[in-house]
Amino acid sequence: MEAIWLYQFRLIVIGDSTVGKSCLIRRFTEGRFAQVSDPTVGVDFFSRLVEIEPGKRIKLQIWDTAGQERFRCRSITRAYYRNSVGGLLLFDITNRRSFQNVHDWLEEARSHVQPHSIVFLLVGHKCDLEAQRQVTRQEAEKLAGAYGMRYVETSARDAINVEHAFTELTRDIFALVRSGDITIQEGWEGVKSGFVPNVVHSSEEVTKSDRRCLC
Amino acid sequence: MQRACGDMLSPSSQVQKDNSEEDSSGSDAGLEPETDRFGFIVSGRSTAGVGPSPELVRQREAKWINIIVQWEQILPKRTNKVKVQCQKGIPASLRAKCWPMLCGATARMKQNEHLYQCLDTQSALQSWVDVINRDLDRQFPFHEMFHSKDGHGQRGLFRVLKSYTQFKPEEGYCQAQGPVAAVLLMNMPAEEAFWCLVQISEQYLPGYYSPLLEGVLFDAAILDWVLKRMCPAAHAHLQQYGVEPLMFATDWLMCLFTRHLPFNALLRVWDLFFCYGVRMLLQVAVVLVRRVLGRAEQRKKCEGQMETLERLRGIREHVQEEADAFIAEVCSVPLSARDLEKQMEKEMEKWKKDRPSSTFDPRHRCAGYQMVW
Repeated sequence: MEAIWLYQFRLIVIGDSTVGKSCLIRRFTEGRFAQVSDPTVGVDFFSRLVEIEPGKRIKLQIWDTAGQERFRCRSITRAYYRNSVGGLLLFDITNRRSFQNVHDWLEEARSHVQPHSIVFLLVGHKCDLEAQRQVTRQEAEKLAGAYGMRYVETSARDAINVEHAFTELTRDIFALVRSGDITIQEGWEGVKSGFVPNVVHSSEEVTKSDRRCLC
Repeated sequence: MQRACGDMLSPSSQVQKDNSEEDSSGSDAGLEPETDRFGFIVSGRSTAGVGPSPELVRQREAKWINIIVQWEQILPKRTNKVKVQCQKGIPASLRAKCWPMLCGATARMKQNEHLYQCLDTQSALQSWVDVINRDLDRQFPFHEMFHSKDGHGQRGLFRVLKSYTQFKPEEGYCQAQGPVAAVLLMNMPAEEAFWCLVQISEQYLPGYYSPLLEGVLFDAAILDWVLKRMCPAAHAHLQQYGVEPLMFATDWLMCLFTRHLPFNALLRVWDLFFCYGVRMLLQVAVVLVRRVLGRAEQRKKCEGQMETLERLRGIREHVQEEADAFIAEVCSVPLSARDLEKQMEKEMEKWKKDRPSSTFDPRHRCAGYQMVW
């Protein structure tokens, strides 16, 4: 039986090719590290439940995207921005170029997500490779601050901060949903409400309309 | 005459010779992991099976050698002989010869003698070299040819992909070409693989790997139409949950199913592809969608966009390693070349209207060996 979840959030993972998007997602959804991973062609899909508070589960739908420039044409990956509520913007801490491209990725996401907006988390990936680091934590934090995002350093290989990154982002989005800054809308896949059993009906979500059983 | 040629082309002598030449400088020596009959490293029991019986293989080899020897005479006759043999499957020992011949790579190579060697020795744009280098160890890491960093597989892959960026500088390298080139290299020497990649990218699937991916966008629309006609219930399910062909078939089409089919089935699909062109890719897609969403109870189990996409992603489990039944099913999909052509015309009108500045036009792409000269 499908586990019960309060909301479903759709997340998108973007960033240059070979920064480790697919490996990070696989570590999070499958709990293992793949030494090698095929370059993503088009988009790929994953899902997992996270518990953000005891008894409060969120279903995450994670859309993995191809990093190569040419896949960013409007019908292939751009179409997915619009229906995402959150995003992980990855760069590789051992690849300066991927950090320099963060700005372009963000610009692109912002121009395609209208009229919605995406809550982004900046992720410096491959932090197990400290000796090859080309981007300091300070400058990454500074950039994230300038964009009003949080910054996390992760490693799929050593399972560092992987849970943390996804859970923090989920919590941030949850807070915005609760405060009413993000609302469920017909025809938008970013946030959907799920089936809530009576036991957790004490929270304020129960007053929200448009509740449907989707499990 | 036939016997002499037969000897020359006899099982695997050609392939082995070419591979061993490249092998001599490789670093694979000494490392001999256990592999299945396709070269994939196996732990425990292989699922690859044993393939057709030796007698049958020998019979088919004889037929193909006949075709190879008489190719110039067969080509203008447009007989069914080649098609029938492609459906039965090209013997493994002769794919090195037959794939380039069917897709016109052999002829192209002859017309452009030394061009590959020339590209191979020249240096390419550094930005392409960097991107290609980063992808080399990501293709078929569990195949004996590709598992070591400086082995002949990865080096061959680099040379073929790099040469392509010089041959088509306006296209450069597309990541989906990696697995395609790798499968070619498992079956033939680098120069033949290069020309096959050129024929696929230029003649069979124009616009699939170019920066705008126009060919893929176009064929995704065609696939939508094909699915609607060939499996209406599955198509209705896809539409209901907002699952578009681009979401699940981008990878299928661009990588020619390299990541989605058991290897034997893949090789058999490619035998058909070189013979019939893109129509076979569409027919394979129909069979795959049918296998996952064909029955009402299957559709009931995945009511939702993500659920449907996850089913489609796990397609490999729905295709057996023993490929005869799968291939028969693919061939029986009633999509005629004529109907496909008509639909392409219609789609082209829409395309021109939506994208007035686009010069893309796939209507005259190669629909199989009979059109390649």
